[in-house]
Amino acid sequence: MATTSAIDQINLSDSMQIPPPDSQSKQPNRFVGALGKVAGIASNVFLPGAGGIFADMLRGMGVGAMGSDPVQYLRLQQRIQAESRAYEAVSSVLKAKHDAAMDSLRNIAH
Amino acid sequence: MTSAASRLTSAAAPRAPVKEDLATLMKAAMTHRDTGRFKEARDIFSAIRALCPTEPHAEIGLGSTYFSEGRFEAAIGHYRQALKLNPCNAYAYALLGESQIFQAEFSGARVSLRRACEIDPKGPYGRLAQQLLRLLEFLPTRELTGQHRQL
Repeated sequence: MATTSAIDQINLSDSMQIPPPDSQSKQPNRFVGALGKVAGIASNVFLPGAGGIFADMLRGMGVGAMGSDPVQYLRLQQRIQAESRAYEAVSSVLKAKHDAAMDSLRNIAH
Repeated sequence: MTSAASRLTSAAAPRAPVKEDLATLMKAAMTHRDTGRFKEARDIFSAIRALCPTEPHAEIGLGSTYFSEGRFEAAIGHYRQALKLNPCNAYAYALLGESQIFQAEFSGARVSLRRACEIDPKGPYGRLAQQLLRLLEFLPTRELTGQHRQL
């Protein structure tokens, strides 16, 4: 049974036109790495599955460099807003799909 | 014959399925599908198809089961079969477009979803197609090349 679809190959951030993190920026230090892990664990407690996202944000997007570079914050904000819009779109699709399935059943019964 | 005996006889005699029977079978199959019992779901949808071979419901149900399994190519085949039975079925067009999105056939998906919107502009199937078209805006405009395809 195939579980990987062609759409799995798509990097959503590519289509959202978010610039990649600056390769010249400083690497996150150990503290930031640890902070990422803590944030991941804490987030997983409140929102299972979301921990990895927050940890990746803190580690991968260079929180260490953010303190001195507000552009990094703007990039992070853009990315969060874009992901939020994508989540909303998926949520709307799921609701519409449920409504359509219910309507289809009603049509069969009547 | 007494009335009780008559009732018994009529209860035992086979009768054509009515709409309520089909709806009950569809609900059972959908429950199997949504709980991951795909084979059972397919068996019931196939039985519905045998009972009503000219209706597209069973083909749509089979397509949705294959979609849930991640077998998008097979799902597309069943949705196309449903559209052969009823070329104006907006639900089949919307679900066909959805499977095409997951196959990364974005231009084909747009065509299918727009067709669903045309057929059912204000109904639930048109709304589903509209939401899927909105989702498409988040995806790249280019089609994936063959080498990226897993199926």
